[in-house]
Amino acid sequence: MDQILSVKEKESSESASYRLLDLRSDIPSRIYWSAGGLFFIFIFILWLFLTSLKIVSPLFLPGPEAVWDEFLRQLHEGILLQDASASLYRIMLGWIISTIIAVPIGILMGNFKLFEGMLEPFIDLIRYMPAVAFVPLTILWAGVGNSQKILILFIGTFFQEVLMIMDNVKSVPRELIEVSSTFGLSRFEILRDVILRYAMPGIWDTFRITLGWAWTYLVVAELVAASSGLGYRIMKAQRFLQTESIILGILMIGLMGLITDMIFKFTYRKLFRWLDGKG
Amino acid sequence: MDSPALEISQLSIKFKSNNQKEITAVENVSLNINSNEFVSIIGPSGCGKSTLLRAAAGLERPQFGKIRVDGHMVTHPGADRGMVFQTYTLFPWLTTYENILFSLKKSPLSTPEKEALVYHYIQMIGLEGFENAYPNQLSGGMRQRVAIARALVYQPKILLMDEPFGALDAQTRMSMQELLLDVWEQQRLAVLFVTHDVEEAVILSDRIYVMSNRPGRIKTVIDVELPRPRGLIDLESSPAFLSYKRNLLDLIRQESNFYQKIPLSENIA
Repeated sequence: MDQILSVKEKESSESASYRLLDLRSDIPSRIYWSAGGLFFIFIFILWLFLTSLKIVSPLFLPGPEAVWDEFLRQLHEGILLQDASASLYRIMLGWIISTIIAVPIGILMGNFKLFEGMLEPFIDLIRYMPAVAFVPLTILWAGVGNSQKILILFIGTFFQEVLMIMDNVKSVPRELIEVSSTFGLSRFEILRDVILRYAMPGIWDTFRITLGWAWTYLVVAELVAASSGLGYRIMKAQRFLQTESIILGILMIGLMGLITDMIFKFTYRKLFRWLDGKG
Repeated sequence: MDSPALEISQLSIKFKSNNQKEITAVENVSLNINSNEFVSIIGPSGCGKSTLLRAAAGLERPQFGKIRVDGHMVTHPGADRGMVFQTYTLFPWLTTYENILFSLKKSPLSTPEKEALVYHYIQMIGLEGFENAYPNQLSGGMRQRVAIARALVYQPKILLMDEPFGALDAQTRMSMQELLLDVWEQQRLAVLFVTHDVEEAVILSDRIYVMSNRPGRIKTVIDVELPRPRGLIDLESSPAFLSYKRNLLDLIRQESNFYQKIPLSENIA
């Protein structure tokens, strides 16, 4: 009897070391990650359940096996790889051009009130214009080739990215700049060795977030006059009511976005180890 | 004769407040600090003592008056003055060693000379073993010690300190005062120290300037004639220390009472 009691006590003391639903408290990482995995499985089973019992018509929601078959077909015919690489190319080019311009302009706006005053109202105006509304204009300006798609991705990304980089630069505490000036450093040296060093992790995170946005603009970019790409495949499938192809396209975009996101998160941890005090 | 380390004459600094009202932060302040003197400025909060210090650092532009460091006019920040702020200003991506080395960027010394100097100062502030620690691994007191070393390593003519121990707890504060006295005995240089803590001012200083309420003027100058080197425990119980303290507290209290008579709207701390 005593033994049973002590075992029970031990159990309860172990479970008392953490409680799952305490406000803001940490839980074991094992449970944290399993929760995420289980939720995916739950959604998958729900999907399987709704489709295999014919609760939902396959026209609106085909089953996982139909999407899998479509995946194998597109992979076999080489369409999938072609679409994915065409989309990846457009995304990367649109985002890289946006970043190359956004970084210096954002740095200028974050450091010099003159540039902030000059450019922020204009950028604020444009960033509320939906990228999809620019499709007709971009066709007039850039034709129907790849450059039109890249231009749409640029418009969708750039104006947000500039403002975010401006904010990253502004996050540098004033005292850090002032103390550097007492060491006799020039404005350029302070900008390079203090402001940019301090703002770099924030800027890197801005890269990750804006690249994610670029993925969400993909379908808009490939809306018109495309002949390849994941977004194009989705739009085409709609015309022929190939719902499984639509779902496959959406899943592919999500998956590729997730991969680029993880690459940035991983390099962030490698590049800025000083953030958690490791060299 | 040598020119004083810091010479401030007839300095006035005005600000435009948010509603375009002109506020005089510092009015007609003159003071001299010789090359091995420790001088404090105390006064009620918002009296412009920090503004005065920042002007000496070259971080504020005075409307009127002159500031000279070692005989040279101050127009902008420079390496002839070292500054320690109340907030933590270490570079978070650099270790203790690298933070101190950073301020030697403009120094003409060779690399081995710089390294030796940095290690000398790490020893002086008692942080051997923490050379490779990042600021977020250090306590508040340790961070301020690094900040002091970083401001001293390039051998400025004067050290400007803006309530450097204001954010620390009482225990740490005391040991920091002891450390500062110790460091200063080893490297005698001019220090201008801003604080609102009367005890701290008496413990550290050769001379104390008491500032009036806004607009900040020099109200009184008090020479602190306590023997050096000073040990904190003995000092704080000595009658001389207590009479300085009482005298200063009276002066500050007069200013604080005056402060409360100002209508609330002008009471911008």
